[in-house]
Amino acid sequence: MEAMIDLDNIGLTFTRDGTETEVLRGLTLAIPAGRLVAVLGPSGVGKSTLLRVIAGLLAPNTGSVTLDITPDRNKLSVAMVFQDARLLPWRKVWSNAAFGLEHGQLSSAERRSKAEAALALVGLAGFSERYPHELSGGQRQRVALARALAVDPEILLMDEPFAALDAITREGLQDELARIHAATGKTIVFVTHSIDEAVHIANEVVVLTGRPAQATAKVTIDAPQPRRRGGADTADLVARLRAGLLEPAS
Amino acid sequence: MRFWKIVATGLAVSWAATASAQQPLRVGFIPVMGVAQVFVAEGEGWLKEAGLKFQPATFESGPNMIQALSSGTLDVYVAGLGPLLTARTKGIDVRVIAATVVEEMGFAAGSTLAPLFDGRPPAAAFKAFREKNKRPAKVATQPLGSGPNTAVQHWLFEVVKVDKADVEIVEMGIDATQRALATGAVEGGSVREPAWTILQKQNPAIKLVATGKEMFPNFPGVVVAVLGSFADKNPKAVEDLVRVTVRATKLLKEKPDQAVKHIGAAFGKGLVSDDILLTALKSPQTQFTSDPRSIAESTVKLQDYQVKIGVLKKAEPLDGLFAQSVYDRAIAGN
Amino acid sequence: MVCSPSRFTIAQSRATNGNESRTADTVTRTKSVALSAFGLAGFLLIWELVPGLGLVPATILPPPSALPGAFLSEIRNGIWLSALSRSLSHYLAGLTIGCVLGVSLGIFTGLWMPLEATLAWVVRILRPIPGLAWVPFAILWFGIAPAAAIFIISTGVFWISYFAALGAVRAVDRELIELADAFGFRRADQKLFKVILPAATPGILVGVRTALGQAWMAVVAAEIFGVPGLGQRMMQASNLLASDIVVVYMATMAAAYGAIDSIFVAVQSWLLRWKR
Repeated sequence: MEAMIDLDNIGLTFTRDGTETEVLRGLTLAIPAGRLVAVLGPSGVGKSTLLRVIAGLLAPNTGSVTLDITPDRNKLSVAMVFQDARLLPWRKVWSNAAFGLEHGQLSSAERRSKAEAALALVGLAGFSERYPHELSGGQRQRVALARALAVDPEILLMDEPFAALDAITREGLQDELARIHAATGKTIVFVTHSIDEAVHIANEVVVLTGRPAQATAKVTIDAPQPRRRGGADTADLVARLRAGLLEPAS
Repeated sequence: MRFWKIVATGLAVSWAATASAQQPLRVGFIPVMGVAQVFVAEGEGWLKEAGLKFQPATFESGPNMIQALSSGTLDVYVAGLGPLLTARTKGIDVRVIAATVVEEMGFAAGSTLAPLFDGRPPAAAFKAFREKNKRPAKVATQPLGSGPNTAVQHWLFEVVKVDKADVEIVEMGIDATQRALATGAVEGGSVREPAWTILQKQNPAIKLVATGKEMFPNFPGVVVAVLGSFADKNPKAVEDLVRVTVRATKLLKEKPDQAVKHIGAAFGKGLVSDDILLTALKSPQTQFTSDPRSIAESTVKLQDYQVKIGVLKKAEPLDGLFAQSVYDRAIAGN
Repeated sequence: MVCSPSRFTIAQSRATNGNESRTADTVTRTKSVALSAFGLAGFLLIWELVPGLGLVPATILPPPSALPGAFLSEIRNGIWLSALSRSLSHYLAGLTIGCVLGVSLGIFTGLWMPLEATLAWVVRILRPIPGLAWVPFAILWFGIAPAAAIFIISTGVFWISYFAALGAVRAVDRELIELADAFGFRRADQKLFKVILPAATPGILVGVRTALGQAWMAVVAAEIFGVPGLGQRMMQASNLLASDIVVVYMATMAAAYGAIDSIFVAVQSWLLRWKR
């Protein structure tokens, strides 16, 4: 399988007020196409930083990021979902979902229909005319997800998207994401600090630990979707990953 | 113990003495040459001699002063006669106890208007301006109802008969008028001393194209007035005030060099030099007088004209306005 | 058995409470209106009596009964309408110029730090200068003309809108800007129109609303040196000791401001209909 995202020797150092903090060092990672890869690690290790490097929002000091995509001026190849929904409060739900489509030459009607389709995909059909302040936290995050899906990206980057939600909503959205992944086959990089979450939805789990962060473990999960929570094989995986997280970086 | 009794008695006596000796006299005035007499009187010590403690207050205009006078925060009014006529129609009992200047008004024209007066009567000069500049000449003066406004209108429309379409009267305060003339923001305007002398220095191109006499003969300029109730309660103070005003008028006429040093206080200490004030004192714009009789007739004419231009609704009888008897008593004593 | 009576009692008292609170609401509302009307009537009565009984001269405090007559005479001689329309034109022109310039400069300064630094000390010197202090310059530069009045009105408006716009742009959530970047809107104009301006609009509108009131206060100061309008008419009336006419124009200005503010609030509500 050809790598969709190729990270080669990524190093990143933050400088603030003269002090330097090395966050990432020598990170080499290949993310295959069509897989849902969870990047798992404790808070503050640099997972979100790594995601932003992949997204092109941060430039690494060393190394390179190669994406196997065809660049298109009128279309986004990479779309992102943040931990907070970050909807534009002055736009209606459909307009928020259509945000990423405003690059190309699409007509207003075309943009709207694509946005509506994405909203239907995340289970929000019929919410188009609402304003963000009328929605619950979970609904807003779903709009953010629809916004990312509407551009039909080849790569989906997700930065702990369900961490701020209550447990019930979170589990529901995890299942929806797994369903959408199975239906669309997109390459998804999913950053999380929850082992249970990683085990439930991911095909591969990359463990990031240490300071500066290193990829210390990589686990493949073959179980097909939809998966059950709390089974025996799940517990085993969780234990392995937990051990991997507590091991000192090599 | 006895020592303290003496001290206490001494203090009480001196307190009583000063209290009765110095009656506070709150005097309001506008910054024009016509208020010179009160300042000369104070400067020469005559007010103190009469047991009056001089408390001056500058006002921007006559009508502002009337509000203060009628509400009891002011005792003496030293400003134009015009606003007093308006006050009487509102039922405020004011009495003129002395005049101070007559014919103090002048009309000045700036560099764009003055040359047009050469070899032309004023009406033609204004018309020539309008033809040349495609707009009427702007003329600055104080608001409707004031002395300057009345005098300017009288000159323009009664005396030299300027066409109404050739002139635009713009109303503003005393300082603003001087500034507007100095900067050329208006083409002409009413001027009194010492503003006129100062203006000439600031802008030599300005010319006086009409004197007070030409604008309104014997125009009743600045007067000294009090509320009827004040006069009734303080007859001696009022009489003394008139007396020192008459003395001051005499000094200003006969020994201007001695009188001038007291006048600066009226215009803000140090803001106007004594040389300028002396020139202003001696100018034909300054005709010192004190007898209310001298302005009685022109006051009637003033009132009639104010009715004509819509300042007053009708001409009220003027008895009670002039406290002539006070003046006569005062000069008899002198 | 022991539970039933207490359950029954609770239900009963809740029912009575509900009825009581409903009646209490209606009574309070009617009471409130009646109290307000009573308060206003009392105020007018005292106002009428004070000059009426000679406690204060009528030239200083005209009684309310004098106002309708004064108002009608000003309308009949055409002065009211002419003064109001003139002042409105100065007001609207000064407001528009001040807002457009202030908001624009505020936005640019908010976007580029170097610009804010360059202007910082100049702004600190110029801003505290009150409108009245600009009068000599206004006359010098524009003459005794409406332009001078408009200039003075616009200076006050300018500063308010400048700081409101600057603050609003600065306060835009950085995370929304990152969102724009993440979705490929890297150019400054894209960020400006898609994120910054819409996000800054509530703050800017607050500034404009403040400026609406400020501009009216400036109208009187601006017209006092000879420009026709409400301010000049008030000065004229004051000089003729016609305090009743002065009060008529004070009320006119208050009513005009109230009307304009109400219109603005309606427009603002429509623009910000996406808010809570």
